[in-house]
Amino acid sequence: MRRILTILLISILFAASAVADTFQINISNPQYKPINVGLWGFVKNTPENISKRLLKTLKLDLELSGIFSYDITQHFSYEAPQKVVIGIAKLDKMDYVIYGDAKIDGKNILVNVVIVDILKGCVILQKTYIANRYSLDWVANKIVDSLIEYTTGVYGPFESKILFAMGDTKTSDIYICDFNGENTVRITNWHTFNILPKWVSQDTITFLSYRYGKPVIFLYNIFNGNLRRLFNASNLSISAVRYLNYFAVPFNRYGSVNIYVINQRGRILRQLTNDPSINVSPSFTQDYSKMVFVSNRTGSPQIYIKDTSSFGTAKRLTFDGKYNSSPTVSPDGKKIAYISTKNGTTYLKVMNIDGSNDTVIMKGSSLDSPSWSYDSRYIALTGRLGNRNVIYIVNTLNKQYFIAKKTKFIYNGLSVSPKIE
Amino acid sequence: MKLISFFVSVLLHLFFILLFILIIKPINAPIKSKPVYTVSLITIPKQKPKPLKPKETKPQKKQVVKLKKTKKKIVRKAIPKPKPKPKPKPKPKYKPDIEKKIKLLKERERIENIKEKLLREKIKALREHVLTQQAAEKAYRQKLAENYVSIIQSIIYSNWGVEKSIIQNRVFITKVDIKLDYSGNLVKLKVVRSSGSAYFDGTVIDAIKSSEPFPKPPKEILTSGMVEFVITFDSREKE
Repeated sequence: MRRILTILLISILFAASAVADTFQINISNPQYKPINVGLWGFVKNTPENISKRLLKTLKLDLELSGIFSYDITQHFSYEAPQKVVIGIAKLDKMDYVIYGDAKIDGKNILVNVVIVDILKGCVILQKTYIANRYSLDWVANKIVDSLIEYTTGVYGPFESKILFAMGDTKTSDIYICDFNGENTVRITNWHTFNILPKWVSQDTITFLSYRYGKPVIFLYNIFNGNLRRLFNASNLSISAVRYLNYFAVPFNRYGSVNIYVINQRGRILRQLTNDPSINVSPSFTQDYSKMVFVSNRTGSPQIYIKDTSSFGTAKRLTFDGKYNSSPTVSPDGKKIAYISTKNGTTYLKVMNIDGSNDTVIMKGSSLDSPSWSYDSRYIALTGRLGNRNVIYIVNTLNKQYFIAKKTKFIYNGLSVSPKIE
Repeated sequence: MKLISFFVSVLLHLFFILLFILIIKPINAPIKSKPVYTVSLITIPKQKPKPLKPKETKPQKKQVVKLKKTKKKIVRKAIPKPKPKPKPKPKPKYKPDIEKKIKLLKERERIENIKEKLLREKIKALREHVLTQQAAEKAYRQKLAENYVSIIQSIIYSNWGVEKSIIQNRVFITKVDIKLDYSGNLVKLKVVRSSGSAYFDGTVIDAIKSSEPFPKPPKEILTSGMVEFVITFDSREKE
């Protein structure tokens, strides 16, 4: 016992004498440094057509994210030793590396992916996706979304779809495309004027159609093709948005335009605004407790907010500019994006839900129909660039924007879907 | 008859008393003049027999007994006479010695106190000297450390960068513990407190690893051949 005690005492004394002095250092305010991603896969051991497609989508997503810059100088297959990849990536000053390969296995395509964090020297993702030739882009979107989630803490936006109306002065149809603007599919082909599409659930959309001469709001399931009339009592170009299990639509009644709640059969259930003015463009917080809308009750179109549970007065949120429209509440319920028009120039602005911290995100020509991605960071909107109409993807965090689609046709509304599984 | 026997007994008693008186008187006189018995008392313990030889010890014991007996007898009779004489005599004789001794002791004490005081002063002076030396060493070491710390800080900062759109207005704080050896090689890197963001923590680790090898730390700041830093990385601007 004594021996043990003496040994313990000696070891404690030795440890105490061996403890080094510790110096404190504080470092703050880091410099700006872009995130370099090595897109070093899908060339080796990958069929050329699959390689092209995967790399195209990966590059597009990385660029549209507005966070990453990428490098394609190296090529590694899935079997490449991780140590070698990390070593070369360190020399090339990469922060993250995506590599792997794809193989055809009968009707399936096996996409083997590895994402490595070079900063920490660890693997973020190592997975084999089973895809087909139609879902290769979905795999690429998933890879970039995973990387965005790792770096920012919030899953990326590329697994959503953009719904938009496009046409000329006589006809307009409803289309759907990936968030990066790829894989566009036409939904309607009626040779009539179909505009203002809105997502109301993961698989259902609403849009306004002049198919029968009079404006009618349709409810359409994009997966099973089920189409039905929702509301035809308005003579205005309006859109229907989701409100709980119902819909909110603005229409003209008793000489003023107010927002009403209708059920799936088009029956009016409740009035959400009651003002002898024009009240349109409703947008709700995720819990439907608050509604943001546009009203001209003070003479010019401005953004207002009101509680949906009571008939209390609406609170005006915008005071800058004479024309503020198209408000849309972010999915997290914290921000409102809207379009402000000043001297013929349009601005995409974002403010807090209470109207504070009003910030210009983007300045452009004919900006319209802003719609948030499900991560509450990106906004897709339409605009005009030169003699072309475009769909912009804007990163509201760093105000960087990219063109997802460019066309000579006119856009008549846009809406971004929730995350589609 | 009874009277005769009574007288005879009385006479006999008187005779014995007289005889007793006559015998004792001549013994007293020679004892007074002979102070010999003290010597024999000292010799007794030397001549004490060993317990294993009882034959030799017997006569000695007898002698001792006799002597003791004699002593007792002598003391009993001699005590009443010398008692009054020695008691008053030693008192005046010892008094001056004690005072002197006390005085001497007091003087010695004073001297010792002075010596102690001097020693204490010397120790104080030595301590102060050592402390000033230590303080000087400490200050020198601190200056060296400060210079080295600022070099390390600037090197790491120059290698630290983040994508600001990820940080925004949020606060990220990462605490890292690093150890360098005597030649500036990174021996240990440990994230003590994570910011909660894998990316932010990664930039911190990358900044430290990119700064390697660090300049040689001065010997004076090394402990067991190592120098340790706790670095706090804060995404905010300095106030």
